[in-house]
Amino acid sequence: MGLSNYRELFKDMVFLTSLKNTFLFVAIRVLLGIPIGLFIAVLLERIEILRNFFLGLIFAPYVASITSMSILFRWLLQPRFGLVNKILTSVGLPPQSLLSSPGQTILAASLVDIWQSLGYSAVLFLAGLLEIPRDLSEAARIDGANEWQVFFKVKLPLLANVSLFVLVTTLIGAFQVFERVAMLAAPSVNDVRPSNYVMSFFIYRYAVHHMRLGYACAAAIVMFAIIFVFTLLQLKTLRRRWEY
Amino acid sequence: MRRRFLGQKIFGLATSYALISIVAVLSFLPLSWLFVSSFKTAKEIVKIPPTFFPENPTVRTYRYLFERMQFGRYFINTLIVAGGVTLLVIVTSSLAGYVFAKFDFKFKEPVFVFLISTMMIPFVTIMLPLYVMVSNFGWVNRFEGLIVPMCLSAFGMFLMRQFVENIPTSLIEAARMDGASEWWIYFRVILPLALPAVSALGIFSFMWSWNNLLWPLLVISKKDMYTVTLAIAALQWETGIRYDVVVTGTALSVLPVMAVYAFASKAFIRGLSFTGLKY
Repeated sequence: MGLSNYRELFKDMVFLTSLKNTFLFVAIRVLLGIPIGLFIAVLLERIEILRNFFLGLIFAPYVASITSMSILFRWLLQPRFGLVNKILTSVGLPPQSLLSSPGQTILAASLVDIWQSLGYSAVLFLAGLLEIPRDLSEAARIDGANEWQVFFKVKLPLLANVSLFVLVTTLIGAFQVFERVAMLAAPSVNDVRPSNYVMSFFIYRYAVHHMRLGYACAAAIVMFAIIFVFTLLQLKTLRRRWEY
Repeated sequence: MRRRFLGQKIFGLATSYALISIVAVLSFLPLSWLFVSSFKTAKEIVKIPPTFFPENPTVRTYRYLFERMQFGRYFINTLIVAGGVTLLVIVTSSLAGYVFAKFDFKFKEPVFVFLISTMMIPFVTIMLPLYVMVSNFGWVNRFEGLIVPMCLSAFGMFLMRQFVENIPTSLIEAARMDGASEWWIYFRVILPLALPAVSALGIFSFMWSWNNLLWPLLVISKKDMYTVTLAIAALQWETGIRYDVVVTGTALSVLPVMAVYAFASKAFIRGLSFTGLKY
């Protein structure tokens, strides 16, 4: 009784691994994914002809389900008949077997996640960029600022609100990753190796397959506590915009 | 000097187009590969090296999915669930948004902050207690179990409040002066004027509901009640080595969403940028 579930959790290697994997997933997802999204938005802002066409193509994967795109990538990443390896070898790179090499599944999952959500951050950053009045960057250019300076000194600070929104929603979403790993890591949900568990998957497994509801709930509370720190940040951004 | 500046500009623009084309191809190639491959035979789909266009296009796998795997039924189930959730979310969010934006009552702000703070609770944290409740209601393997727990959206209420606040109160007062009932005002004034927010909320509620896997996985165990997303997950888990079935099933689950997207991509994109900026 009492805190025994929690004491057990922090000695449980599977739980600690799932914590580590979740943080790894979130880190790659945020540190690599968000800058790429911003970069794409900057490219899209520069081109006016065909902007909507390109944006439409880039946003398309986001509309499909995480489940379906993960199944798709399990097939594309097949070492023998997968498309990814065919492309890699045709440009002279060595073939990879991301999904069957231990320790690389989480990396593959976060890369696929970045691929599918590129449109999300790009759309939001683009909306933010287009809101910035033209006069501001024009004025900076007339004062002799080059394009890099215009971007980093004028536009980026004005994107603070949008960036925070993208960052916090991405963080919260990434911490809860479930489908991506459940579908990519193994052919069946029962075959996912404990070394590839993430937090939500741990909770699901212990509640449904090991029938340990209390233990799973304890893990859910730990997860809540971790995410709560980031959600406070979100509440703060909401509050600021409530000023009316 | 001027000419050099122009040259640089053209060069920069060309680089932008080149880079964005690469990104667009990388984004769209896997999807088109999926659709093209859904017409391949079981043999061709695992061929080494892979082919792009099917050598002998066939719809046999599609027929298999509909005739032997009940995919027609799964689509109807998903439409009922996603449609029901979307409708209820729109009604509850817009009503709550209207009330919080235009009415005054005791403890309004504390109540609102309390509601919004539920947005911060990750779904994984509440899904187990929620499951226990749903099973106590006898809603396991039923549409109620899939729809009712999802019909309130704190995010939706927040979005609608933000939007309705910008509707001039004088409009509402004028209608009230003319003797309009509160419901008439809600249906004839608030809802039409809040249409951009309603459609953004509708699109994303439908999409999230269609794509949800974790909750149906907990609540549904009977095959008859599968949603499309659950069905393709089960397809991989049960027939993992039959790549033709898995790939075609996946293509089939994505097709309706992509068809809607092809016609209304602007609404999706506008909806998202709208929520991002309104937030």
